[in-house]
Parts: sequence; C-alpha cells; structure tokens
Amino acid sequence: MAARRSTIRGERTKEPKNVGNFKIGQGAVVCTEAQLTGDITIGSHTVVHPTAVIHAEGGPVIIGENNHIMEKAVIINKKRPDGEPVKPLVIGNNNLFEFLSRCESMSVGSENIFEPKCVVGDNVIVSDYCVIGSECKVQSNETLPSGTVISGTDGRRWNKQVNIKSENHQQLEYLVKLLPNFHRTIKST
Amino acid sequence: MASIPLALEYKRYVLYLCRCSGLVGIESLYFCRHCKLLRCMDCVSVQIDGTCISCPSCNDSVPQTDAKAKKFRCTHCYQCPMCTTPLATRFVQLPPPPGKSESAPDTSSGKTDASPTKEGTGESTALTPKTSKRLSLTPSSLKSPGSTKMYYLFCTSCHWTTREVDIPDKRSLLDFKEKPHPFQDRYKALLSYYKDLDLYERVSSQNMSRQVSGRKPRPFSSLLDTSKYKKDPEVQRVVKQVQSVALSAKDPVRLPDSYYTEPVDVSSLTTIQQKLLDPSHQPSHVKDLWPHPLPLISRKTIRCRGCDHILLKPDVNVNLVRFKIQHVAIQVVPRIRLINVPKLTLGEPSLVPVSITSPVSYSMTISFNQLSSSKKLKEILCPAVIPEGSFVLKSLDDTSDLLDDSSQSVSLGADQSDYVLSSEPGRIVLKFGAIPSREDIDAKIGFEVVFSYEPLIEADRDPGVTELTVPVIINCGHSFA
Repeated sequence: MAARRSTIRGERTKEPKNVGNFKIGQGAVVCTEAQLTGDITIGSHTVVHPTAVIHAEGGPVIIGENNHIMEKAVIINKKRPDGEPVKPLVIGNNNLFEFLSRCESMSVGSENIFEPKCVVGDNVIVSDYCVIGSECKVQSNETLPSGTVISGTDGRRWNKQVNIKSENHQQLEYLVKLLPNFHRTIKST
Repeated sequence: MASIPLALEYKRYVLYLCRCSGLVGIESLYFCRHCKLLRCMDCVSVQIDGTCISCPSCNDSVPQTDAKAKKFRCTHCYQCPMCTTPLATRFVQLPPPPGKSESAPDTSSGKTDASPTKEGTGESTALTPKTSKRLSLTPSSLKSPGSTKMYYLFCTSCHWTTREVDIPDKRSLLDFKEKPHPFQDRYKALLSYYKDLDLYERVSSQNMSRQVSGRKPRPFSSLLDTSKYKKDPEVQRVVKQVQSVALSAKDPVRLPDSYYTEPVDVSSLTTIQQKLLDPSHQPSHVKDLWPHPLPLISRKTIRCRGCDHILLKPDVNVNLVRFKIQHVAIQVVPRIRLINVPKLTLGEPSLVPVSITSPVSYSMTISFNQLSSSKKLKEILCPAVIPEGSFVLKSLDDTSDLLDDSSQSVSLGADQSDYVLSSEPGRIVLKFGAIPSREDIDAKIGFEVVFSYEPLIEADRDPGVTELTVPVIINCGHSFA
C-alpha cells in the first residue's frame, strides 16, 4: 500500500530546468532530474540523485569528491543581502547528504553526515566528521567543531574523540555504474 | 496514556478519546470484536508471559531460570550508553602479520604474533574494510587465511563506538564484557560469608531446640531491635562524639577552584538518564561510558476487560510477529491526519484540512457529530466547524492508479462538495474549521467520527451494531491575533 503511488500526492514530477554553469568532474554522476541552478562545480566520483536540489543563489557551490547527495536533499548557497560580498559554498569530500536533509551552511568540511530531515542554517560552519542527526536543526551562528554529533529528539550534542572514515565508497562505485542505466545524466565537462 | 491536558501537550496532533476518558494515539487502541468496543491500554488486562523471555535485538529466547541468572540481560547484545539503541557490530579486517606470510620464521614468533595485531588496532581507528583496501592492501591478502577480523560496537543512531572509551577491538563478540564493578570481589566475599552464617545459624538453632526441648527458642528478630542499643553508654558516647564533630565543622567542604574558573563543557558530561542506565558505576563523564548488556523483554497477553477474550497473544516462536486480525483499532477505525499545520487567527474561523483514510475493504460511510464533551474538555477545546452529512469512502483498490476510473471516487451529496478538498478511493480530504478563542493555549477541536462497521467473520455479525463512534481531538497549533 505504501508503494501505491510513485509520486507524492498532488504533486506531479515536472522536468526541472537546470539553468547555470556546471562543471562536473570525472566519474561523477549527476542526474538531469536533479534541480541545479547557478554556478556549480561537482568533484569526481560524486553522485547526485534525481530530485536532489542544489541552488547557487548567493555565490558558486563547489562540491568535492566522493560526496553522496541523495533524493530530495537540498544544498543552498543562500542569497546574501545587497552590498555583502559573494561567497562560495565549499563542500569537502566524502560527505553524505541523506534524504530530505537541508544544508544552507557557509562551508562544509569532509566526512560529514547529514541525516534525513536535518536542517543546517546559513550561519553555521560545519567542520569535519560531524553528524547532524535526523530532524535535528542547527540554525544559530556557530562553528561546529570536528566530530560533533547532534542526535535524538532533544538534539543532544557530544564530541566524538575517535573519527571513523565513511564506508560508502562501495555504494558510490555501485551507483556510478547503476544510475546512468536508468537516468539521463548531465555530462561531465 | 496520560491525563487529558497533559496528553494534548505532546507533539501528537490527532488523538482518540477512549471510553475511560484517556487520550491515546490510534496505534495504542485495541478493538474487541465481541464487545464491539474500542479499548485503550488502561481498559484491557495485561498478562505477562514469563515463559517467553527473549532479546529484542537477536530474538534469542531464554528460559526463565536462565534469564534470572543472567540478571534479565542478553549475553551478547549491547545497548548504546548514550541513547540506548542496540549496538551494531562492525569489523576491521587486518592483514596477516608479515612474519607469518614469509617462509623464514622470526626469532620470537610469539611476540611478533601479538605485536602486529596491537598495532593494527591502533591504526584501525581510521581503517574500514574499504579504506584498508585503499591503503595498497590487495583483496587477496585480506581473504588469505592469516587475516583476522577485529570487531567493535557501533551505534547507528548517535555514532558512538566502543573505540570512544578506549575499549580495544576484539577478536570475537563474546569477548566484550560488562564493566567489572569496583566492589565486585567484596560483594562476593560478603555474600559467601552471609551464606555460611545463615547455614551456621540454622544448624545451631536446630541444635539448641533439640537441647532445650520445651523452651521456645529466642526469635532472631530481637537482634534487629536497635532500641536497647541506644541505652548502652558506649553507644551514647560515640553518638555524642559524632555530633560534636559534625557541629564543630564550621567550614564546609570546598569544591576545587577549577569548578569556578574553567568553563563547563556540557557535551562531555552525562545526563541523569545516562547515569541511571548503569546504577553501579553512574559515570559522570562521557569518557567513562561503557556498553550495557541489552535488557530482555517478555511478551504480553492482552485481554478485553469486558468479555475476557484475547486481543493479543504472543506466538511461541519469538521470530514471528503476528497481529490478530480485527483486534487492533488501526484495522477498523478510519485514520485521521492533519494535512498541514493551519494558520489560525484569533476569533475567526480558520480552515483545518483533515484527511480521512479508510483501512477496510468495504465501502465505509462516515459522518461527523459535535463532541458531547465533559466540562474538563470544554475548557480546552475551541468551537469547531464540522462537515455535515455523510461521506462514502469506496474500498481501496491497488489497481485504481492504473485504471484512472472516475467512478471510483467518493460519492457526494448535493451540498457536500464544498467540504471536500480532494478525494480518491479510500481517502478523502475534508475542510474542518476552528475558531480559536484563547491565545495562551493551542487551539484544539473535537468531534465524533461515526463510521460503518462490517465484521470480516460472519459469526461476529450483529444486526444491532452497524455503526461505531470514536471521539477525536485535533491539536491545530498556536493561533495569532
């Protein structure tokens, strides 16, 4: 019964208009159903699923290598007020943006995990090895130190002392092979 | 289940009002098909089945005597000390020690055997099965018989690992042990001493009763009577001494200066819940946490309090999870959801879109009544605008998506289309209304849902009962002036 409808009720999938200047690295897979607008650079072996959203409104978005951006994940470089200088949003390597996560952060390091439905505001700097738990919101003006874990219904924080590298390389390799068989992809330049 | 005002403060938007005036979510309601009544957890009798004790993580069933000996905890499943989620196991595959692969044996084989694995665990803080491959380790070397798997525990929810607290990786899952208690040996010594004492006293009392026949032996409870000791001059002297010391201590014990000067790092301290998970250690720092053995669970038999029929019965096999058909309300009662949190204006009727989903295979007729509520409820609820007339929800058909048949939509009366936002087989979205009257509390509307009921089993068919009623309370959120 759950898989009764392929689309979300009342919302038909439209063919998104990907407008902008894209630079896509070697071996990266970016599906055309993803919504990309603005000046976007995507590093090699990064996978962007269909219906993922990347908006470069307030400056370019530069995404590193081996990142995994899942369906309906949102990455926005927000439009700054007039007069403020244009800042690029730089995202490091080996990050995982899960389903329905929303990242408006100023910069993102490496090896971070954005769990489903998490929200990271536009005044937050995410360093390395951070985990933003599902449904957790970080919207204050701060820098998350390396290894910060925010999880639970009360958004409790603690700092990891031991950082373990992400294990999604195998999954990424598989997706790089699989996704072009079923989706149109934006060709790497 | 909680009292009415408290339950409404939860983040639940839709709550069903039970006959016992308790508010519960639909998943906690049972339906007795013999009494044709909805019952919440407080209106049923619960019987704990002691014979069916199992681990919720590995489904390993444990006999009751064994479970008592193991303190009702699983021997090889652990829970996260941070968030109580069952811990998952991960492994790191280490290459065979270089001394073994070479034909020429090393001089001290025993030492080289131990040292590479130790180094490996040290390095493996950043190693995973995949990343270890990247570090120029060929897969063939990993599959070779000399390679070892080292296990560590990992929480999938909060990403806590056993490496956080310097627990070295183990060769087997059984090597993970509970943290030894600092006074464990003392407890054991005391326990054995009192067991011996118990035996000695029993034997001596038997001997005494044999020797002094006819005379009643002195009861041991008199030993516990402390009143006579208070009169003892020696005891009184000690008490006075203690009191004088306690009074003379003018300066209280001072906390170290770091308490006042250094900033508090809340993220490195444990919460009360985390402390109480481990009552014997009560760690105050995140570094002192230790994986806890997972508590075992027993299954419950749930009976209707009115007719004593079984509503839910555990299976003998732990791996099976079967619901008794038509015994849970979710299979009979229409599911009501708030589509989105409405924008409410104080004193004005505001639109509250509500979706109603039919779980049954027959076409269900639904109508709504105003809630004949008690005084307590009237204080909380605000006036509601409720759709009039009855709506027929056609049965849900999985092929309806493909057919796109317009005849399957909801049949409506003449004036009813004003209330309908959207409709499809088995589901309808209706316009309700709320008129918020108070600003200080969330606006809540209440109404009765009257829906048709047809039992699946012919024997349960009762011509008298064709309709059921369930009161529903919806929290519509905060209103603004």
